[in-house]
Amino acid sequence: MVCLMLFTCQKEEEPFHEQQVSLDIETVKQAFNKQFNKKAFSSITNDPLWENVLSYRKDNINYLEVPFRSLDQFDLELSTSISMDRLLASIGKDGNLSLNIVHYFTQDVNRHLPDFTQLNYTNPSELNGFVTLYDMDKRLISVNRYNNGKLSKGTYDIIKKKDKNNIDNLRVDEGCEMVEETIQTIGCWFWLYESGQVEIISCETVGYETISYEVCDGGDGGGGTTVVTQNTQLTPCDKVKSLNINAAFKAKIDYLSTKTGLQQETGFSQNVGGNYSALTTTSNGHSLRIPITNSTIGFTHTHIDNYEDGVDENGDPLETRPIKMFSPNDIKTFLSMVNNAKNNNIPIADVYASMVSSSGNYMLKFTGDKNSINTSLNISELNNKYRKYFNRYSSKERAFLNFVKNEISNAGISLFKIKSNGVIKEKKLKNNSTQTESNTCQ
Amino acid sequence: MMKKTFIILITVMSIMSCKAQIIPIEDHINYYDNEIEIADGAYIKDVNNLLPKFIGTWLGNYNNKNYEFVITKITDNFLGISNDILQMRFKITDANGNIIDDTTNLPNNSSLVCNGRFILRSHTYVLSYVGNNAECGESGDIFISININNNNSMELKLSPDKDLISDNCNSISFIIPTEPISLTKQ
Repeated sequence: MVCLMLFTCQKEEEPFHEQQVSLDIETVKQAFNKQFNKKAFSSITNDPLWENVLSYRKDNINYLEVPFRSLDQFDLELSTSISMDRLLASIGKDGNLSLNIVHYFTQDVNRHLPDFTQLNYTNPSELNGFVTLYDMDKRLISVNRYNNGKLSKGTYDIIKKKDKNNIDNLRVDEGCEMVEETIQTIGCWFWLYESGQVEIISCETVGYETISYEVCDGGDGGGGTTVVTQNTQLTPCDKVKSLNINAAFKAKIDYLSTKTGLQQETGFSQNVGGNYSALTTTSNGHSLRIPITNSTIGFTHTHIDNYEDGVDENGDPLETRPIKMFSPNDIKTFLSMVNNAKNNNIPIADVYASMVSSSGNYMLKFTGDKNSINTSLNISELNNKYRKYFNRYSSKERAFLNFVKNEISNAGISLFKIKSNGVIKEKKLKNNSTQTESNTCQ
Repeated sequence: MMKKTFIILITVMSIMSCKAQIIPIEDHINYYDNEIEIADGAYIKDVNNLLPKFIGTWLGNYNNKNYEFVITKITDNFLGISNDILQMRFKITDANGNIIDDTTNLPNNSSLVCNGRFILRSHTYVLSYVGNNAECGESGDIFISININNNNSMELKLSPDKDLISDNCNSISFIIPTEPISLTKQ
């Protein structure tokens, strides 16, 4: 049956080739059972619907595509988009079987419903959305975006994506959750030879785009229904929440929480690709050096616990009390990163500064005017005043907020406290007063 | 008669509540550690005369450098409270008398003059230190402690801040000793 279908497709699409390699579904089944990483693909809970197999041939390669869900399982009236996973098996001229999972994310299905019986990985006819290819351990291979079946803007890479397992957990607790993806567009100059050979001369990042959508139901059987809210402007609260449930970020925070007892700060910087770099200490561990490259978007670091720095003339301990709040140098670094993001077309909303201490974890976001970022801070003058604020206001949040308001013009800084139970509160000054107020991020 | 008594009582109570809160300087650290709010109009005051023993000029020598620390007391008014604090200026010279740094003539509001943070114990006091190169980590707490048995002998050391610095900074060598230096009162 499968062979017959294959043959039909081949006849329609291109001439029969000499080195025909057959794709046997039983072999695919066995390979799938052996290679499929169920844990990684936690939203795919059932076997492929082998009876709905789609087979085709393109560029001398035979393909099988097997959905995990049939189209009639989607509520097309309620959905504005569809997420669908399929097993993609292919066998090339070398005779090797290759298995992948391909994820179709189809936007705006009310207006542009593609023909899923025809749509396949090599022919995304009329598709508006993304086609993502994973290996069997859910390692990302490629992401392509299509407008009416046409490949848009070249190749996309998802450079930040919320951990799938976390989304699943949140589905249980909250029903709906915002998912956000930042897409990096890379433009390349290339030379096209008459023979068809392509030589890439140079490539550079031409921009970033953040898309967001809301996942509202459980992934029963692969994919699930996705409600798209395009062009949603995420609030700073949303951004802080999103970062704090990111598995990689959380792991760094958990790690840093174990380092506040050291007599030096520990930290990481992060770039737009989601990679973290450990910061190095200098001056006998007194300083934590932070390089800022054109792709740096944030940093997280410790402010250490009180400690004894020797004894006084009478043999009593000298108890040092580090201020467990962002320092003027932290603020300057943060604003430099905001400015750096602006100059490199990185979304400013993604830039953050984070501090982990035994008195609480905090985060800064920029909410000011991106055309007047204050990067000319005199740290010596600010440092002296900063300490006076912390002597005046015993509440560190109050001291910090009053310091920023009075001493840093056009600061544009918002302060968030991240509680150990995951609750995030924005801390600000009450209107025209030195008192603070606290608003929970919903 | 009853009405008159009532009016007098009200007047006395309102006078009492208008009186500024006095916080002894040795209690200030408890306010800091426990984040207890300091009311507007409060006066953090040296009611028990703990500060005068620190006041004066202190001399010492460390690593072939001569150190002169000049300690004064001021009442600092800042954001609605008053605070009795020590201020410290210094002059550092090398073995040949060449000046390495001199802050002794700077005004009270200079960022390079060390301002008191709080008194740790009756004989130990903490000041803020901010150098010209604070951006690269030249800042910290200076501890001064007077010998309980000899008020003319004092130890001083800098405990540098642990802070984030730019990658463009060179490693800092602190001009204030980070090991205890013995000082004698003039």
